[in-house]
Amino acid sequence: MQTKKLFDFMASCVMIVLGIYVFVAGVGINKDVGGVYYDAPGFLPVMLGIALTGCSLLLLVASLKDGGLGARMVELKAWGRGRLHSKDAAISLIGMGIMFVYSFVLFRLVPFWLSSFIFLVGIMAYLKATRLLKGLLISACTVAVIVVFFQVGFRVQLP
Amino acid sequence: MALEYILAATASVFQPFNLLVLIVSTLAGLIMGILPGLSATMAIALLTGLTYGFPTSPALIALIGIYVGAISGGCQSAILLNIPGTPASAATALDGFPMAKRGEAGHAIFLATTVSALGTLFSVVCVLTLTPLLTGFALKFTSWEFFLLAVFGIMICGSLTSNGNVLKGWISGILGLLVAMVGMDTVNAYPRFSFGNVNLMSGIQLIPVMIGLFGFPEIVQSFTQVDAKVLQMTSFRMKDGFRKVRKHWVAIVRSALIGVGVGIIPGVGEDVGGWLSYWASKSNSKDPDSFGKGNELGVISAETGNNACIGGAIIPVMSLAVPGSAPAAVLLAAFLMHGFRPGPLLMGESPQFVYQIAIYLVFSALAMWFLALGIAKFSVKILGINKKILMPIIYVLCVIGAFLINHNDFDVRMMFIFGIVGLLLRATGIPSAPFLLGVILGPMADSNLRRALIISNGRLAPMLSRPICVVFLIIIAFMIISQTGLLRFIKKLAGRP
Repeated sequence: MQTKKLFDFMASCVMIVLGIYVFVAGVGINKDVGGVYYDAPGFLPVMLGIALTGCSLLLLVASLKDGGLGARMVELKAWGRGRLHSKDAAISLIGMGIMFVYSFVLFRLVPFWLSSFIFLVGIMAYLKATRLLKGLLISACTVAVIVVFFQVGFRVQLP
Repeated sequence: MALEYILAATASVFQPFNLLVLIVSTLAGLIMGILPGLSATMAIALLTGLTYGFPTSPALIALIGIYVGAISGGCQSAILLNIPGTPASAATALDGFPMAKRGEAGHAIFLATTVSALGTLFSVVCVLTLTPLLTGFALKFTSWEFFLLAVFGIMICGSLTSNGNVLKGWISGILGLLVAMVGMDTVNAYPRFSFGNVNLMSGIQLIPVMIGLFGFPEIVQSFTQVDAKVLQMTSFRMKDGFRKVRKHWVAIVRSALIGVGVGIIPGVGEDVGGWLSYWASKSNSKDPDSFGKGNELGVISAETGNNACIGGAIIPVMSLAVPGSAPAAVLLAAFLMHGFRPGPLLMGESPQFVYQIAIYLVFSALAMWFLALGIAKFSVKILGINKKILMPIIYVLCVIGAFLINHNDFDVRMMFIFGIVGLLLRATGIPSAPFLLGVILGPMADSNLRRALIISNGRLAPMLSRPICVVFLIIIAFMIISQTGLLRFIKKLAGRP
C-alpha cells in the first residue's frame, strides 16, 4: 500500500513537470504562429498541459496522505536501497541493456540476420535460458525461419 | 446486396491461401493466448506490423483470426495453470482451475472453448445489426460531436481501466493525446514537439507505440518470472459437454449480451466482459456459494462474455472509429493501415467491409473451436515452453513488426522507448489502454476541435445548441464530478447550515 503511494507520488511529480512543460511549449507554439488562439497548433497542447498538471496535482495530494512528504522521502530512500540490491532488478536492467544494444546499435550497423543472431545468443546466455549449444541452435533456426518467411516467402526487405 | 457481400466474403475465405492464413493465424492466436504474458493486444500489434505487406483479404483474416484465437486460448492456461493466458480469461480461472483440480480439466476446456465460439458467433449477429444502425446515427455527427466523442472515449476508458484510481486512467489518456500531438499538425502543418527531427515531424507511428506499450513489458517481466506448475489434461466426452451447453443456454445468452454491451463501450476490454458476465451468473444463481469452487457455470459465463466482447468492440470501431477495447484499438490501426476508413462514412464508402469482418469472425470462431480442441492435448506441452527462450524470439518479431511499417530503424527505436514508457506505466499502476486510445483519437480530437472553433469564430455556443453534444457534456461533467470527489464536496457544502 505504501509502495503504491510512493509510486503515485513519484509519477505525479514527473507528470506535473511534464504538464508544465507542455503548457509552456504550447503557449510558445501559439506565439510563434500568431493569429487567433483557437486556430493555433498549440491550442490543444495548452489544454492538455493544464489537464495533465491538474490531474497530477490531485494525484499528488492523494499520495501525500498518511505521513506527508517526509514519509514519502523515507520510503523513496528505502525503496531505492531495495532496488539497488535486488537481483531481479539487476537482471531486468541488464536484459533491457542487451535489448537496447540490439535495437539501437546492432540493428543499424550489421545485417538483420547477424544482429538478431547475436542478440538471441547473448540474451539466452545471460538469462541462462538453456545450454550454450542449444541456445546457438535455437538462435540460428529462429533467424533462418524469420529470414526465409519474410525475405523469401513474402519478399519483404529486411535490413 | 448484403447477401452478395456475404457470399463474396465467404468465397474469399475458401481460397487456399486465405484458408491457410485463417488456420495459421487462429492457431498462432491460440498459442499466444495460452501462453501467459502474451496478450491478444500484443498478438494483434505484432501481426499488424508483420502483415503490412499482405493483400487486404488475407491480412484482415489473419488479424481477426489471431484476435479470436488469442482471446479464446487464454482459458486453457487459466484452467490448467490458474494463470489466465490473457487478462480476458481472469474470471475463468476462478472456477476452471478448481474443476481441473477435481480431474475435470478436459470437460472445463471443452465447455470454455465451445461457449467461446458461441459468444463470438452471437457477437457477429450484433455486428451485422448494430453497426449500420450506429453508423446511421453517427452521420448526424459534426466536428463538435467528434471532438466530444474522443474526449468521452478516453475518459470512460480511463475510468474503467484504472483499477480504482480514475486519475491514473485519465493521466494515461492525456499522455496518449500528447504523443498524438507530435509532428505536423493537420490544420497549419506546424511541426509540434519535433525538436528539429525529421522523423518526429512526420509524427510517431502507432504500431511501434502499440508494440512497445503492450509487448515490451511482458518480455522484460519474463526475465525474472518463475514458471508455475501445470495440471494434467484429462479426457472429456463431447456429448456431455454439449448437454451442459444446452442446459445453460440462458446464462450463455445473458453473458453474450453483457459481453457485446461491454465491448461497445470505448476502451473497456474483454476482461471486464468476462468479469461482469461471471458476476451476473453468480448473482442469478440459486447456489452462489458454489462459484469459485469449480462451478461450470462460472467458466461458461466468463468465456461467453469475454468472447462476445470481440464483436462488441468491433462495432464502435467500424461505426465511430472509436475502439471498444485495447485489441480493437490495434485492429482499428490495422484497418486504417490497409486503406479502410472506419467511421460514419464506412457503410457508404465500403459497405462490403462490415460483412467481410462478420464472415471472418464466423470462420475464425469455427476454426478456433476445432483447433483449440485439437491442441488441448498439447496445451500442457505449450505451457511448458521456457519463457526465457520464447520471449527474446518474440522481441525479434517485435523489432521486425516495428521496422516493417516504414522500413525505418527510427520506428524500432521508438518501439523501445515506448516499451520503457509501458514498463513505467505498469510499475506505477497507470493503465496502458487509455494511452493507446489517446494516441489513436488525438488527431481526431485536435482537428475536429479546431475546425469547429474556426467555423464558430471561437464561440462555444453552437456546441451547446446540439443535443448530442449536450448529452456528451453532461456525461463528461458527471464523470469528473463523481470520480474526483467533487460530488462529495458539493454534498458536504449543501449539508452545511
